[in-house]
Amino acid sequence: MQLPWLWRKLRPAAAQAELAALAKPGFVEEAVPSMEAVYRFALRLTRGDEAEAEDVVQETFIRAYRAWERYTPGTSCRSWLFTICRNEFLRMRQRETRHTHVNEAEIDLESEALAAAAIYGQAAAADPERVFFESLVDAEITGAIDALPEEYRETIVLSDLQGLTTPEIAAVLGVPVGTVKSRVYRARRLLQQHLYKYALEMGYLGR
Amino acid sequence: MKHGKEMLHCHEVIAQLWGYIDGDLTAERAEQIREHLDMCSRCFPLYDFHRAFLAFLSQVGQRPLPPLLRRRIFQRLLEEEAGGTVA
Repeated sequence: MQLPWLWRKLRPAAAQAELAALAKPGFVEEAVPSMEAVYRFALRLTRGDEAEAEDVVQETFIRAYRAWERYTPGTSCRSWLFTICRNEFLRMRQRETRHTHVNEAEIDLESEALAAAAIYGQAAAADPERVFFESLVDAEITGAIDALPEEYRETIVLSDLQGLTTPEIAAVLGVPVGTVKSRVYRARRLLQQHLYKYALEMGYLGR
Repeated sequence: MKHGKEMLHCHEVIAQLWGYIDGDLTAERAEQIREHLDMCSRCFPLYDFHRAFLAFLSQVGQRPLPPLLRRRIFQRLLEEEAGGTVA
């Protein structure tokens, strides 16, 4: 019988044993535990393409091991790995690191906040008892996230799914802190809008 | 209102709601917003909705790392250590 909690307890020790041959100090203790988080990030970068995500994660850890001397101990290893992961993803897709899907200058934080309030107002009017997103299953939410333009998707994933701080996200994406905030606000609003419309179409609201 | 300090309007509160939830605001502004939310029947539900939405998002997409992927990466790391090209 599987005892998942026991496995999770033992796993770090198992990794240490299996990877005892790795000579570079600290890699097993600091980088390997983030492998699952990197996988989850890669899945959203690839919009749910598991095979591509697995390749990205593998390349991320090989490169991270090669470049381990360049990691500064005490800083967020997870953020460092996310940076490598994203670069790997872009490299494997042979995309330019700069590409414009959005006009950042257009985003006004206050307007975004008001737009989000309007969506809530609509949703609450349709279904005052329930919080509409709770009726959605995980695949529907990740589907909605995957439908976001790349800049918003990667930002909201790092912020609201992975819980990175704004400066950490800015470092991973190579953009100013202000850009991170405006993208997060808009991404949240777009996601709420998408999910509300979806819930409406599926008849989840107002039952 | 009782203390004679300036109360925020709903419009101002809504405009800064994400900032409030994210902990980006000054202590003073956060306190003003908290006081407004405590007594505003329009703004509080919106705040509660946003807060619940973010709490919900934090639980989304929690796919476990596939054991075979983990094994494959471990294997590659060991190969790398054994004599792959080290940049």
